[in-house]
Formats: sequence, C-alpha cells, structure tokens
Amino acid sequence: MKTAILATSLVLITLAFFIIVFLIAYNKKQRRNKKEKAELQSQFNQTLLQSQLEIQEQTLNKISQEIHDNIGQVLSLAKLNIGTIDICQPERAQEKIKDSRELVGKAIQDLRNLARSMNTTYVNELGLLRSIEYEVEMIRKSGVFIPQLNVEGQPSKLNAQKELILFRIFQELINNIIKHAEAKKVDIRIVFTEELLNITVIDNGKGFDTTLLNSPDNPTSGLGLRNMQNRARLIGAVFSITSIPRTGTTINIQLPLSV
Amino acid sequence: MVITKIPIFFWFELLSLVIGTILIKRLRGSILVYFIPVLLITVAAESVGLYYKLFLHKYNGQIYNLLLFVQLPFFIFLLRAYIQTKTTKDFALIILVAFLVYGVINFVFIQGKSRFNNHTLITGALIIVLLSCYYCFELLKYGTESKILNNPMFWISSGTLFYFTGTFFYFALYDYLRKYKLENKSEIFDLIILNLVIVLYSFISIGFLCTKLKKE
Repeated sequence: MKTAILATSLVLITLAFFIIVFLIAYNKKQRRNKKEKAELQSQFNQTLLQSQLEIQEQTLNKISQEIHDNIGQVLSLAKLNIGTIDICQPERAQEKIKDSRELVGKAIQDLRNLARSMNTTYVNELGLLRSIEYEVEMIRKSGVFIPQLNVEGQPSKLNAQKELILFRIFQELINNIIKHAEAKKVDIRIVFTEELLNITVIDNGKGFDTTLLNSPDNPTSGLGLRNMQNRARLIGAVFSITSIPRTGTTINIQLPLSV
Repeated sequence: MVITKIPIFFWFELLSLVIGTILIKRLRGSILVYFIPVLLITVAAESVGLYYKLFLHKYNGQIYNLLLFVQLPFFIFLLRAYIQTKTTKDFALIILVAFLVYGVINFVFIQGKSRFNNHTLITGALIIVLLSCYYCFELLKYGTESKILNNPMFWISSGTLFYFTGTFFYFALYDYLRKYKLENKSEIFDLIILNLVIVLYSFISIGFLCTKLKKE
C-alpha cells in the first residue's frame, strides 16, 4: 500500500510539475506574441498615417504647381484676350471672345481635375489602379519623361490600407526617378494573377550601384529605397531592386493577394 | 468476483473508448477519429490478455506483441499528423516505416513470437517520446490558442510523453531486472507504469472531451 501511494504520488507530482511549467512557458510566449503583434500593428498604423500625410503633401504641391503653371497661365491669357478686345473691330473681338471662352473652359476642366485630386482620399475612392493611371497621366502631361503603363490580368480590389501604402510606394518611386534617374522613358507593368499583384517599374536612367545601399560608410544612402522596402514588408510584399549603372533601374513589388 | 480481478487501468481504457464513441461526431473530420478503432483493438486485446493471465493462467505475451504493431505506429502517425514542420513530418514518416520494418524483423527473427518484444516497445517508445517533445516544442513556438488546456493534442501528447517515457525506462531495465533476478524489487516500477497507463488513457479521454463540434 505504501509503495502504491509512493508510486502514484511520484507520477502525479511529476505530471503536475510538467503541466504547470508548460503552462507558464506557453502563457509567457503568448504574452510576448501579443506584444510583438501590437508593436507591428502600431508600426503599420504609423506607416499608414505617414503615407497619408505624404500623399496629402504631394497633392498640395501638385495643386500649387498646376495652379501656377497651367490654370494661372490660361486665365492670364484669357484676361489678356478680354482686356485687348476692341469693340470697333467686331470680327476680331468675336474671335478673341471665342478664344477666351475656350481658355476659360480649359481652366474649368483643369480645375475639375484638380478638385478631384485635391480630395486626399482619392486613392481609397478610385482604387489603386485608377490612382496609378491618374498619376501616370499627370506625369505624361508634365512631360518630364514618357511613361508607359501596361496592365495585365483581372484587376482585383485590395485592402484599402494596403492600396494606400502601395500607392505611396509607387509615388515615391516615380519621385525618385524624376529627382535622380534622368530617365527618358519609364515602363510601368502591373500584373494581376490569382495569387499575386506584381508591379514593375523600369526606367532607362543612369542607374546606380546597388551595393552602396547597404554600405556602412554611408548610412543615409538609399534611405528612401529602404523606407519603401520597409513599407512593402509591412503589407507583406516583397520589394526588389536591380540596377545597372548607365543602363537603368528595375524595381519590382510582389504582393501576395491571399495575405 | 471476476470484476475485482480486473486491473483498474483496464477500466480507464474502456472509459476512453466509451467517451470516444459517444463523441464520435466531434472527432469526425480530425485524425482523432482513428483513436476509436485503435482503442477498440486495445480493449479487445487487453481483455483476451487478461483472460489468458487471470483465468487460463497462460502466457499472454504474443497478444501484446501483436498489439504493439497497432498502438505504437498509431501514436507515431498521430503525432506526425499534428507536427507542422514539413522536414520533421517527412523524417517522422521515414522513421515510422523503418520502425515497422524493424518491428517485423524483431518479431520474426530476433526476439521471436513467443517472447515479449520489449526491444520493439523500447524503440517505439523512444520515437514517441521524441515526437511528443517536438510537438510540445512546436506548440510553444507556433501555438496561437489563448487557452492551451482546451487543445486536445496538448493532453494527448502530454499523456504519450509521460507514458512512453516511463515505458522506455521500465522496459530498458526489463532485461537487467530479469538477469539479476531483481523482479521482486521492481514493484514500485510496476506501480509507476500502471499509474502512467491510467494517466495516458485519462488524458486521451480529456482530449476527446476538449474537441469541439465542427460546424457544417
């Protein structure tokens, strides 16, 4: 009887010890996971907010530029036309009025386009693809380089927050090309498959040495690209850069659609 | 009285079979449903074994030798199914096949049919202990459930870990105890093993009770 009690106690004590230790370790791990998840969520929210602010800032810059370079010029011309109308020459006056009407019409159309882009939630409203198309259209109008957009596959709607971050990465890419690449031509390929969204931006600019991106001597080098890489990682996308000096740069973003 | 002669662990085996059968709807759709035929075979083999031992007073080792070929591969298969890492899963499958081959060789050529195949049991127990440890490690690493006590496999793997650790040491010493005629001093070990059988089948029953009814 004594031996039986001893054996049972031994088994039960060992068992209880194992279960308690396992439970403590498991709960500790769960708490750590929760903390990491919360940190990641906070990082994601921060990036989202930053992207929104940057899109707003870029939109305001675009508006200011558009008003100064385009609408302001058109309206000044219309004002000049109207100011120089000579009622003694009815035929010329009519022509000038017609021209002025056309100029004012153009200014109204441009203002409408601007009003649309002033709405800072347009990425969410239009969707990623339409926003990129609109952005490409604006670049084409600016004449900085010739953008070529190709879309393949059946476009699918993504999570609004992911679309916003992806769009901001795209804007940043285009800004980089404008600022640094000295490219004449930019190819933008967007491919939708069932599992993946693939965005590739290829420019024929001056390119750069990608090894410098990770150089410890110059930590600020490629900060923008690393920032884009981090943003892509936060939404579960893979961001890759291939660049050949004096040939151009190819940037690829792959976002699994199931994530 | 016949009933008083039946050891207590047998009732725990029977209890887990009854609980499993009652909860068969919940077990459907998971590998745990295969427990029912395995438990049925175990209870049947145990009944015949006990009948041989208690009433016919005959050696019952052959029955348990055959039972090893059902129980041990099943526990290896079960733990393998719940392991997430693909390489470990593949490795466990190779080990399972190798174990079956070794078991057959041991049964036919090495220890034979008439002697209890403790070498097969030791090898199987060691594999199950290692897989149970690995499963617990994965549970700690990848587990997402807030209440681990509601996870049926936590109970089952804890049961296999304890029972087969005890079995491994007990049968590893089996030949030594016989050789030096220390069997009479092994009473505490016998009792620990009996307790561990109770723990295993109680944990299997708790595991069954923890399964949730899947919505159609």
